[in-house]
Amino acid sequence: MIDCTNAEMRDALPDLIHGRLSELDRITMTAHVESCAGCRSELSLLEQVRASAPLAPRMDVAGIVRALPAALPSGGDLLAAATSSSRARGSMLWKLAAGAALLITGTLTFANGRHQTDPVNAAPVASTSITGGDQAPVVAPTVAPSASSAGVAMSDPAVSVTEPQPPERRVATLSLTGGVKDLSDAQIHALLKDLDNVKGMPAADPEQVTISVDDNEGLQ
Amino acid sequence: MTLSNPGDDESDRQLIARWRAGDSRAATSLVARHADALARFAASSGEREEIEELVQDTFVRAFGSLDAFRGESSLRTWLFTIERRLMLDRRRSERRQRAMVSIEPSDAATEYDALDGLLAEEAENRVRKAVSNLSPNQYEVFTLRVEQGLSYKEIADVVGTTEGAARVHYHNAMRAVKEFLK
Repeated sequence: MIDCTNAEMRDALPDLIHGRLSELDRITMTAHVESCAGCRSELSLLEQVRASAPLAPRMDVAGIVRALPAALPSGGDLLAAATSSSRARGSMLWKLAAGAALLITGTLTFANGRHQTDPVNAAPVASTSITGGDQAPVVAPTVAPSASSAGVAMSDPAVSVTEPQPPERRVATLSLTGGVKDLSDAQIHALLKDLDNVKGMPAADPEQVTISVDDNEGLQ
Repeated sequence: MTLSNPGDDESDRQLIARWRAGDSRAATSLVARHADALARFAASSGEREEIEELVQDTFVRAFGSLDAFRGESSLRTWLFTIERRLMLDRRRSERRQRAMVSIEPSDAATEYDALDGLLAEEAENRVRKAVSNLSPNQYEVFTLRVEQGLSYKEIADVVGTTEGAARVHYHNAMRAVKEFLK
C-alpha cells in the first residue's frame, strides 16, 4: 500500500478518530479519506491499535476525590486576601485612633471645665484675665498651685502632718476701665516722665490763618 | 488543522477556579473527566498493577500543586506529565528492588506475554505485538498520539521533547508497525 503524500492529512488522522477536529476540518478529512486508499488503510490501522490498547480498570471517582487535598487559596488569592485584610486592619486602626483621640479630647475638655469651676482643685494653669481690679495694670502670668502641692506625709508618723491650706489664688489683671485717678502719685510722675521723653514731629506746618480787622465793622 | 481540547461545556480552568473557591463538585467533575484517560495511559505505558492508586496519586499531586499549573498546556497534558513522572519513579524503585532479590521466572515475562492473555483476537495480538516492538521513545509517542489523541505539541510537553522530534518519532513508529504487519 502506497502511503498518502499529503503529510497534513496523514498527521491529522489520529485527531479524526479522537474527534478533536473542528467541524469543517472533520468534513474535509472525511472527504479526503474516502478518496485516498493510503489514508483509509492507515486510519484502519490506527483504529486497530486504539482498540488493542490494554484495558484499564474503571476509576473510583469518589474515592479519588476523597483523597484530594482541601482547596487552598492560590498565590494571587492570598495576595488579594492579604491586601484586603491589610486594608481592613488599616481602616480599623484609623477608626481606633480617631476614637481614642476623641475620647482624650473629651476627657481633657471635661477636666479643664471642672478645674476652672473648682478653684481648690485647679491645676497649675497660666492665665491672664482682664478685670477691673484695684491693682495696677500689670500683666503677669501666675501659677495657681494644685491641691496636691499641699502634701500630706503619711509614711512616718513622727513627721508632722501639714494641714492642707487653701491655695492662694492670684490672677493677673489688666485694667482697661480705670482712669488717671486710679494711679498713685509715683505712677503719675513716672507716666509724665515717659510722656516728656516722647519725641514727636508734626507731619506738616500748620496753614496760615489770616484775620482781617475793619475799623468800622469791627471784627469779622 | 484546528484542534479542540477534549472537554465538556465548562472548561478545566473554570472548574479549577470553582474548586479553589471551595466547590468540591468541581473536583469531582475534573476527576471524572480525566481519570479514565489517565488509567488508559498508565495501562498503555505498561503498568499492570495498582493503576487506580497511580491515578489517585496523580490527582493528589496535581491538586496539591495547582498553583504551578500555568495553563500553557491543557490540564490533561499536565496530568499526563505528572503521571509519567510517577511511573518513572515507580519503575526506578522496582528496578532497585529487583537488583536486591533473585529474579523469579515470572519476573522475566515481557509486557507482550502479560498482555497476551487479555487480548482475544489474533489480529489485535499482532497489532499489539507490533506496537510493543517499538523503541521506548517511539512507543511512548505513538501510544500518546494514537491511544490518547494528544497533539505533537502536547506530546512534546509530556515527554519533554520538541514538537518536531515527536512528529519524527510518530512517523518512524508508524512505518515500523506497518513493516511488522506486512
